[in-house]
Amino acid sequence: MDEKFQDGIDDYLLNRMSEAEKSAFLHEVEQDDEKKKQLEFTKQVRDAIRSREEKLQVLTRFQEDYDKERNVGVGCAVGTEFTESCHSDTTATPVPVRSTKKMWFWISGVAALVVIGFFAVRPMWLHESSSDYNGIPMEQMRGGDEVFTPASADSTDNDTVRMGIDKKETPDE
Amino acid sequence: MAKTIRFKTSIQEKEARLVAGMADKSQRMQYELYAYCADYFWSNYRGVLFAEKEVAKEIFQNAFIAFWENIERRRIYVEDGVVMGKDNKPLSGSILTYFMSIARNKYLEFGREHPVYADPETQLGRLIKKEGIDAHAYTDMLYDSGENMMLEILADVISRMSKRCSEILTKFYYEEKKLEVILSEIPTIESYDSLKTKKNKCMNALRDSAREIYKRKLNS
Repeated sequence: MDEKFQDGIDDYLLNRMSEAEKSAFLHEVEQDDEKKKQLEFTKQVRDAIRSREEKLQVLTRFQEDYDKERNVGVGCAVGTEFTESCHSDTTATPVPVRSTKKMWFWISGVAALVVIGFFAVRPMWLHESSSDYNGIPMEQMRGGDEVFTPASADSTDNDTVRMGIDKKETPDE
Repeated sequence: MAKTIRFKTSIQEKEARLVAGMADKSQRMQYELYAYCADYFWSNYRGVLFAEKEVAKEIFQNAFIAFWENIERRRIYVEDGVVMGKDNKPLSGSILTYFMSIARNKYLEFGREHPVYADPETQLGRLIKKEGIDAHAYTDMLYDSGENMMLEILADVISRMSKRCSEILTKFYYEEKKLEVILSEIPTIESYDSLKTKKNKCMNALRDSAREIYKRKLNS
């Protein structure tokens, strides 16, 4: 790269030349292919930098609007770049994520207990209602509840007839 | 003459409206397209790029600018309500897929330029090792073969320039500041001559990179 000529190119592109200087410069460029290429390249660099910088400025504005919109519209929206900074923003209203989680934890815990309890008790109900049910094992071992029920009318337990075998008790004994 | 009837879904119609609005420089449409891409990118980027948030932000920004410039240069455009792509054929798939392909290519290029991120122990490193960087796919996605090719290559190389070069060239060519002013704004550069040398070195590096890519593209 011809560095001295580059200064001339910069002055030309950035309008730092008088009309006379411009004419002389353009005449010089016309005479030399390499200089023409150098001028063309520098123009393209300038245009590419301008295009990028203009877009970057617009993008900065878009980014601000986007963050605001997502913040106002959907709070800490899931799946946006804003989400990650959202919860660390001290000015934002804190979302009670923990308490909601806790509540669901308790609800599922109680539900689990109810389900386990149901399956633990259910076989006993089914067994009691069957025809060959004789009571729970403990009851069978102690003979059942009938020992506490009053004896029936024809039971010998309540007989008052003495068979004469009872020994008479004498006053001497 | 037989005419092909194309049935369009509401998504295709929406995307065609956004691309057309972007090409017409409608600020509202530009923002809508930005938000459309941002929503998709931030919901899905973890499945495509294994990048930290800051890196992902940079990639999103560069990918969106490249996407925008592709629309400006009519690499993708709308015809009869349909988004058209390469070889004047309807774009295969959604513009979001197209956008994510640009982002992915930018990401792989980023990994190549920042070896620390492409360490074989990292997910990006494993991805590059497994898939490699398809230079052809990359240049095909970003560069035209027409008269705009050099400008497109330059735009891409500029987006990957070092921070210092970017700072100097932006102040010089975009803000149109004189070297004396730039020198006062960058105190780490000790002299006018040093600044001028740096500026010329940046221009030379840009030229070399762009020429190399240009030659590669012509030979592909």
